[in-house]
Amino acid sequence: MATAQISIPVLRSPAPPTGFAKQQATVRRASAGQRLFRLGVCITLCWLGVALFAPWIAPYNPLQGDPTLAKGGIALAHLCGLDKYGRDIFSRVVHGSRYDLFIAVTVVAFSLVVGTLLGSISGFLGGKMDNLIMRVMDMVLAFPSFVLALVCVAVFPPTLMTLVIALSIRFVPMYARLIRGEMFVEKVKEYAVAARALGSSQGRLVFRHLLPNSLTPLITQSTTNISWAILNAAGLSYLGVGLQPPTPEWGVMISEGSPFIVSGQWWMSFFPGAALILLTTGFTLLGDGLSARTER
Amino acid sequence: MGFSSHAARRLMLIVPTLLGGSSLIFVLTMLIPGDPALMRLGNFATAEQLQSLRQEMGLTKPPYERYVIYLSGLLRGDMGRSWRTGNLVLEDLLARLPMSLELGFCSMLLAIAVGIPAGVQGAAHNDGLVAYGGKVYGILGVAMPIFWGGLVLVYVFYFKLGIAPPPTGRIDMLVVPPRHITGSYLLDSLLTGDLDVLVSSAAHLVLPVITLAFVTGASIARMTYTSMRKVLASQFILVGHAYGVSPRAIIYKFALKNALMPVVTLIGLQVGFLIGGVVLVEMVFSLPGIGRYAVESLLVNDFAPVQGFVLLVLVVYLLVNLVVDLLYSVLNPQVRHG
Repeated sequence: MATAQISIPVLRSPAPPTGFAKQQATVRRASAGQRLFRLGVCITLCWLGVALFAPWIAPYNPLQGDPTLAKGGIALAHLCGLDKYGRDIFSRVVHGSRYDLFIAVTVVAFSLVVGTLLGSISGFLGGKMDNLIMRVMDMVLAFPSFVLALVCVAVFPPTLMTLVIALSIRFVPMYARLIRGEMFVEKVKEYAVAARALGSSQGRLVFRHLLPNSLTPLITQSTTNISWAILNAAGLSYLGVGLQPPTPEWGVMISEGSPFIVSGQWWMSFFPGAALILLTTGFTLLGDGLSARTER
Repeated sequence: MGFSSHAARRLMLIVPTLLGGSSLIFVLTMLIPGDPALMRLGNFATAEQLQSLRQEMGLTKPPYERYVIYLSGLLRGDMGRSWRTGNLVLEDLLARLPMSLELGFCSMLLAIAVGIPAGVQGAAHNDGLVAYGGKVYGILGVAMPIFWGGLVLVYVFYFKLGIAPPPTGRIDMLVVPPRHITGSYLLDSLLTGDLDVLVSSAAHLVLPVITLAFVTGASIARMTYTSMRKVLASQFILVGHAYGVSPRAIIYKFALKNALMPVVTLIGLQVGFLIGGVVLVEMVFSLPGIGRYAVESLLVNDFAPVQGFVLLVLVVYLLVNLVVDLLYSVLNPQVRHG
């Protein structure tokens, strides 16, 4: 969100602010945007730390529980309660961060690579090839994204890899279009013409010269996409077509706890969901901050 | 170019997209590992049984022939048969569609009613409680998993406060469903004047609609905010202020009209998101709509309903975006010449 954008603060009648007050207001708002961006960075880094050091942070084994304590509520020994098999929810949430972060990063990386490749070919070659690739991309974009992912996981066996590919397909056209547009602009610039005149091959021209100059909008886009990937990975797992129990993935955990909501054992689903919100909020703030910076 | 020829051209574009989409679905089902006949009969089937079923299902024919059969079937409205329910897929889908449309439509209305004012308020007032609330809503709303939101609402309003009905379908167990007219319980009970059904079905819709609208509305609020900020920073707003137009009139008469144009397009795209949300919400609240039908079929490897569902969703999505595009060209005549 463009929190750093300058707007005209004339709404506060009767006395319109003078030049200095206006400047001050702008500076204050910009720093508010900055604060949110920093908050996003902090949240993301914290989760990264949790994921890296999960075995040391989690006090219990995430896969083995004590059945005698099943469905136990919040206690000092079990901060987030226990699930139906007596497994410690806090430990499972901590370990779950590994799955959700892994999915987020691989989905974006995978679609970035495939999309960039297709987009560069399309934008650089133009003509028939461009037409073909872009029509296929349009076809993919015509599907509502979650439904597309749902069909893909339906077709292939439910593994982590399937989930990643199913979620990636949606972003490929997005990146391909972005890069294609950038390529059209970059390939006629002087440095590109110079490189061509110096006799660099087409591959070298695309990957050494054009691509590095077209990447900025993609990076901004990626941070925003990560949130979507995490939420939808959890959504698919919740439906039972993503990762399977007993994996301590957050969507799986919410799904496993959902039958007990109506009998009042809220903690089984609540904490994984809260963790999910915290992580996606982190990425959303990061994305907002980055796009506000590049817009300037 | 006039409006009608623009509309006709736009309508023509749907045909190749649908053809491509259905081909994509066909290719995907070809990729499914395993033998559909074996899946249907189970592991104890004899070789002859398998062979005859394969022949019956047309699996022995070459792929291009199957593709032609599949397409000609679609043209006749034949989407195959679900072996889980034993019915024709089209019948199953049409029986469940009104429920999903009801849910989606109500949620979209509420999302727009909440999202646009929230975005406008956030953009119009730089600080203050309202603007801050709008901003927090925009961030948290898009970060929340829909199904989790639904579960939280069930816990609070059903278990804790006891004011919401249990999440077990679209109507109370003891209430007799209304006579079938449109398939939407809300409309049907209104048409037949059945107050009990109206109250019961409305009560069952409240939590699902709020769940879906909360998340969708947050995206709309974000779009409105961004668009509104851009417009408020432009020259003609400054001129308006210089002429002494009241701030209220500037926001609602000058800025909002211009800011809403991109929002209209984005709301059309938002429908795609809404469809995914409908699937999840139907699962949380056990609502018998097309999303739940597709997921339950999918979980037992019954693919004909999934194919049908995807195709139906594609048609709905394309039509909605067609309407949005046309609406946009009414609001902004420039695009007709584009």
